[in-house]
Amino acid sequence: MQLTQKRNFCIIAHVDHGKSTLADRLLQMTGLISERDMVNQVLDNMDLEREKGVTIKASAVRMEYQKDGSIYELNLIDTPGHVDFSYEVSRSLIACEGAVLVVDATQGIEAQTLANLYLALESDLVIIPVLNKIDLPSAHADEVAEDVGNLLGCDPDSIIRISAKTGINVQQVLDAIIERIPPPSGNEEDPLKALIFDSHYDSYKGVIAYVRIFSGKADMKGKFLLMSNKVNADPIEIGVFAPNMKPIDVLSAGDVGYIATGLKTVKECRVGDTLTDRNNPAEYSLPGYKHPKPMVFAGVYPVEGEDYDDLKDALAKLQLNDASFVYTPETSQALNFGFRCGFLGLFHMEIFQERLEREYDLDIVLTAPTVEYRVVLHNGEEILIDSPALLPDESTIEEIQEPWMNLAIFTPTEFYGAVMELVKRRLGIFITQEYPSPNRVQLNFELPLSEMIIDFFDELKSKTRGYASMDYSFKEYRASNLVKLEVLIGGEPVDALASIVHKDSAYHLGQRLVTKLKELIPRQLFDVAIQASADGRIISRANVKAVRKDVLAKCYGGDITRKKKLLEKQKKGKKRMKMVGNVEIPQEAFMAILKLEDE
Amino acid sequence: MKEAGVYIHIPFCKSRCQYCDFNTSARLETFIPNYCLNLVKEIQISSRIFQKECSIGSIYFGGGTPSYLPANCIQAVIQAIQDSFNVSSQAEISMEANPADIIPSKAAIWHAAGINRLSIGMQSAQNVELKMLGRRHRFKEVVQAVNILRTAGIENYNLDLMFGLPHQNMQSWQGSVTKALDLAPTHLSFYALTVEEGTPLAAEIQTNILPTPDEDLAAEMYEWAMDFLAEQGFEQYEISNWAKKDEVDYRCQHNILYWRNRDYLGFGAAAHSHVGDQRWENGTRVPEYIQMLSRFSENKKVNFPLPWFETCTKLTSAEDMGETAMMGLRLVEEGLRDDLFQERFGKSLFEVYKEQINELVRLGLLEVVEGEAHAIRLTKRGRLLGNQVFMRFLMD
Ligand SMILES: Nc1nc2c(ncn2[C@@H]2O[C@H](COP(=O)(O)OP(=O)(O)OP(=O)(O)O)[C@@H](O)[C@H]2O)c(=O)[nH]1
Ligand code: SF4
Ligand SMILES: [Mg+2]
Repeated sequence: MQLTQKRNFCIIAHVDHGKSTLADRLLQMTGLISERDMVNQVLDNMDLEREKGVTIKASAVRMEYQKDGSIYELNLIDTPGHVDFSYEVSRSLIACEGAVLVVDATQGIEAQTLANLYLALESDLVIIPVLNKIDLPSAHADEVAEDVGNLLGCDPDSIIRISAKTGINVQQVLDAIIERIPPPSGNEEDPLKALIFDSHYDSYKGVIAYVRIFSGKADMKGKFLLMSNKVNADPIEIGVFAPNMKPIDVLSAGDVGYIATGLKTVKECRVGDTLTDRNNPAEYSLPGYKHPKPMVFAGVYPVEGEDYDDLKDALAKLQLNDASFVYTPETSQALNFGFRCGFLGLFHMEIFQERLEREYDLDIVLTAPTVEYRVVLHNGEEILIDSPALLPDESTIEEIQEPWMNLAIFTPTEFYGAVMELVKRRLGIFITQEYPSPNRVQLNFELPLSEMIIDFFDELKSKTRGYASMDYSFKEYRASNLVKLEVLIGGEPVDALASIVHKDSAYHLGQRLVTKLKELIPRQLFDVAIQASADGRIISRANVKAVRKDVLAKCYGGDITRKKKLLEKQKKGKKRMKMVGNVEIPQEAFMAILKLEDE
Repeated sequence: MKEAGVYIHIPFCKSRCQYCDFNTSARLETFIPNYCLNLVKEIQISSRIFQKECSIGSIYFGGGTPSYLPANCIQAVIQAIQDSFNVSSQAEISMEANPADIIPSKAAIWHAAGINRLSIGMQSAQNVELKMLGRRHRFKEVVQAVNILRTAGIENYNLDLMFGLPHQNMQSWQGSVTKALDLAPTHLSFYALTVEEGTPLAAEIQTNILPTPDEDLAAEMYEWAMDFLAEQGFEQYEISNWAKKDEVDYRCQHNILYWRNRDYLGFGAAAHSHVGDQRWENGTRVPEYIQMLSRFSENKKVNFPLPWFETCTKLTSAEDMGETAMMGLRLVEEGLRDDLFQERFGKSLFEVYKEQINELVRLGLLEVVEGEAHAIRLTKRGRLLGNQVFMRFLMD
């Protein structure tokens, strides 16, 4: 097929504005998926995606579409909207010439609308703005069209208004894709240059590289080479997503598809690398990506020590599908052998936890997430620590620095005060404000990341009745007045419960933490003392009194089975807890610091 | 020949109590006559399978409320058991009764039918508590009931009491216990209230109409009762059961079968049975039970497992061991005896449960009885924390 007949585009938007639903309609209208096989958000094929109704991983699909008598080949990439996965969006953009920017007409422009739009503009993509959900009575399309028009400098009347759910006007989107997005450029005769923009792991075919071919062509005769590390990768299969993997003979310049490499580790086949042919290699590789750096770290431990190897395997497998996740072995006095894991954000972490529990059936304990601190010692040495347990002795520390973020919050103006108050309480600094539309304000702040990972987003949502959205990016490390907040159980410090906190809030946090732990730790066969200490001082204490009565009553008419079942259930609950010394601690307790209510 | 007990389930009550989630119904009264006929039939058909294997040492009518049934129904069932099985002349024949059902005419028939032990659901001596529990009797009726029984010649009776109730305090509990003792029972059972999900009582607690019972207070009530009953000449032989100390053994022989994990045959809807390494349970619903049995005549030969079983499981030796321990440890005096254990499983419980025993002894929940009756049993503290102990004897 001629290049002029090809279009590569992605769908970008804020969370839940309807990207995956629009993708559904496009797949249907182009006949790729029949009415019968259609399910909602068909590209969200991970169990977790379906259940949460959220796209986690971008997916690419090839469709064919006839217009004015000629056939077009359309490559669509559906992207996730959640801020933790914005790197997925930026990778997808490089494979495209255009982007459909979906804006929910009931919500208007939100934080990731802007963030993703800017990413698309940086990659020089043609933007097709689309207003979605106009079937809903709460849609205020004219107003939102005005805002989007202002933002993009286009005529509000030119913005297509659709319902991805009912299919109204979706045809116009298809037409606009063909009319407005330029076909890809690139020469089939040049040496092969294929950019790996994503990957997943298949136990039979090895790492499957998702590629955009910029020049040359790839077929099964190819002798491939990964340019950054000189690893050879001869193809096991070449194909396109339709939407499942479908082998084809050749991918040529301008195409999007996959190459199954047979490689067993993602290190060998990194996202962002360029794949070429070693018999006719390209001279330069394509510009890759900035790899996202994990921002949030937590310990992951098996509840039962004997599951350690299974956990290790599971982490390795998950990493094969998600190179942005990092992990290293770690030991804790309280939890024994486990791993310190780095995530892009809290949502990323939550997804991981659920996948470990469900896809790998592992009982795990996750410790409270922390950021990476930079510690400057008196002797001038600088160390990075991603775990409170690693904080060196206080007397050796010159200063502790922590990551600060640029934070943009989008909110209807009526919540201006509430947002300001929240950010101030979280030690944020106000920088500027902008009014993208008459009754919406964008507030720009700087804020320590450590404050943002403690329930910040939930609180923001609840203070703004769900209307605010936010975007953030790393700014810099700054020195702060920090201390280690330790928790002692039965008089012994429990390393997995320690955290690094701002000195000013240590006292208050310590008290709330102890109160929360008292609630979470069940009564045991003996009294359990819980204490919090900072700076070598006990700042709070509580006692979980010994349980006195725990016995089943009557056994009716010899129904031993029922009794046994109840006991077995109780035993299972006990097994899910982590023994620290001789105290049984439930998994939630290690996350308690995230769940502190205001008193 | 092996000894076994017979359990008869009577799933009918006049009205449902607030806390009750048992298999019973207050709306199926019209089924009663037919139910009894089919019970008799079940006994006759089953006897042809088990008759040769066992002699019957105890019969127990549980429910529901067996006393609510016409007394001649009870009589007919006992007669059927005696006709079909080899029932020992010393057999203990017990029946659960609601005090309000105990009237002279019924008591006379029960006595004549061979019932020699009654278990009376007194629950409390405080009328406010009885009302809160939704019991249909008042304390006065308990007093009357006891007199009627004595007149009818039944002097062996148990009183059931409940503690850990909403609004109950130490004083009201002590009052109930003392008043129960004034009625000269041969046996006492004290049960802590469990608030079962889905019951009206649970709903009242959830909506704060009633306070959540205080577990620590319940523990104190129990501890007080242990000391008090010991002073009053009662022997605690099971976690919830006390028998009057006398030349006669007043312990409930039928329940001891459960605790020793021995054999029993259960008849009626939802009845449970345990024979050898088999456990089974009859279908739970009364209309279906009746329908199922109506299809068979009493002379019909039917093979094991019988068609009205809902479940029938063959226990592995490990399961059987766990169950034997879980039940046996409830016998707080005799405990789990190693000689009986060895006889049954061919190994010593001190080998099988070495680790568990060491841990529990260290925790102060279990003690080893040395000497001839080498056994393990709960400590005084362990009696209130039984689950912590039993749990450890079950397989993972
Ligand atoms: N009424 C109505 N609902 C819609 C429309 N489009 C999407 N939705 C609903 O909006 C919700 C989110 O839709 P998705 O397609 O999953 O949104 P998304 O942008 O892919 O979300 P993420 O991938 O999580 O960022 C779903 O419940 C859809 O059914 C529409 O046109 N009308
Ligand atoms: S009498 Fe017993 S079985 Fe009947 S409803 Fe009351 S508690 Fe339940
Ligand atoms: Mg989606």
